[in-house]
Amino acid sequence: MALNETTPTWAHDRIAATDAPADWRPDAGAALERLTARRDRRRRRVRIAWQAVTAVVVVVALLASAPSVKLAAGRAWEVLFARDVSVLRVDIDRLPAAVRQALQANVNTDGLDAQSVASLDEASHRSGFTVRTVPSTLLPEAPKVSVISPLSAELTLRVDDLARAAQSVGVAADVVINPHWDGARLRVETSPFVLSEYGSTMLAQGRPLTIAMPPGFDMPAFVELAMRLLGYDAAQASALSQRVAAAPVMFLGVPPNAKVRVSEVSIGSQMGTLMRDADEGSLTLIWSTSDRLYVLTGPIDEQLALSVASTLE
Amino acid sequence: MDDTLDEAATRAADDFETLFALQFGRLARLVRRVVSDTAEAEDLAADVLWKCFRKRPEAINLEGWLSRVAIRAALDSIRRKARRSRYESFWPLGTRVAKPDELLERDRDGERVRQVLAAIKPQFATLLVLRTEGLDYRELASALGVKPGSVGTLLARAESSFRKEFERRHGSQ
Repeated sequence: MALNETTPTWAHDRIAATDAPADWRPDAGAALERLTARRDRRRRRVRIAWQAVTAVVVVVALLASAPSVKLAAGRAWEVLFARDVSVLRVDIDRLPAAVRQALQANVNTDGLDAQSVASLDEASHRSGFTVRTVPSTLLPEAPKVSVISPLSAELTLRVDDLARAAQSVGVAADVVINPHWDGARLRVETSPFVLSEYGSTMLAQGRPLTIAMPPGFDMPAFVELAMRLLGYDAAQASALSQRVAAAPVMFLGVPPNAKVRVSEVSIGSQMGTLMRDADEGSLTLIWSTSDRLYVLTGPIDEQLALSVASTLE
Repeated sequence: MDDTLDEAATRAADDFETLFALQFGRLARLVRRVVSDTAEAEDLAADVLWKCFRKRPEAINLEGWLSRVAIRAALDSIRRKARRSRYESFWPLGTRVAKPDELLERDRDGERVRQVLAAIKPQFATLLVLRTEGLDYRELASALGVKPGSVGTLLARAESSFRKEFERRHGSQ
């Protein structure tokens, strides 16, 4: 039987019990403030995710290889894993357009919307690794857990673009641009990342980044070129190239004017990178173990951050 | 829900503060029918408005779209809580102690109705809640994206589903 417009209904009578209290006035101002706070938290998460993917916008240029850790991945690619971190002072927004065009990766950010999960088991299932947690003696709040899908960035090198970029920053006479690089594709991928929020402190964990490139690609030479394009002088670019030639490195870009103090710290047998942000009063610690890359960030002190890291080795 | 208001809402979708000012109170009250906590109702309403602002849905009836999405968000919220309660019940040490106002709420008819709304098909729950808000058939059809001629039949099914689930849980009253 279809109801008509005036049919009194049994359900209607029951649902009327959900009428709001007569004296309740929705508080738009408070709701807007809470919404802003939630959006800010989300922006922080996204920023961290970007850092975890690396300053890939400044590109794969910032990644280097070591022959000992390259793995054959079929005929088309060599694959390596980045575990070490280095911080570069780079103002991406101020780079000349020609440099941005030459080093601009195609970044797939579809997965950046963190999906909440109901349990650590679900997070482990979705991420493909066993999620590690911080002991409640260090961070007592129960974590809210969410998962970010894999992200990737790919750069196809164009020799003409690289030459134009070198000209635009006045280093064309000093750098070598290998003609065989034309058309070479460089790709960086992350695993899923699991975010555990303990109040305002967040731990992100994922597998080390994967870097793929054509077999025989001279990544150290390319890194040296990229550093020159990014504004480093010849000696700095050479030093960075040599450093990353020893082991794959994930570079994080930090604007030159950001009030961030960066230092290296020991976490057991590993080294970590500690960044103190004076503007936000927060601290970020990035470190990795054999199978995991971690980012811990929040308004915590260095001692607590190192204690947390030592439990996750 | 007249056309003038909806036209204003559509224009306001380009300006978040205006959209918020125009729609927040109405949506929060609507959501409050489904979730008992007033602060949660406000937060869900704000989230839906933000989602609308970001996605700019191409809905002909923006108010209807907002209503439908808000009710769905509220239904999802109480389902999540129900799932969490079930998990917690398996682990006595982790069981959350209910706050006094929650204990009171459990005894009220409103909570029973909310449980039933969360258990039936979301389309039926949305239809019943919007009907209780006073929407006529044309407005209901527009909000749910169905033909006006099918609203009566859908309402009858929703009524039946609601009553059946209510009586299954709480007996006939």
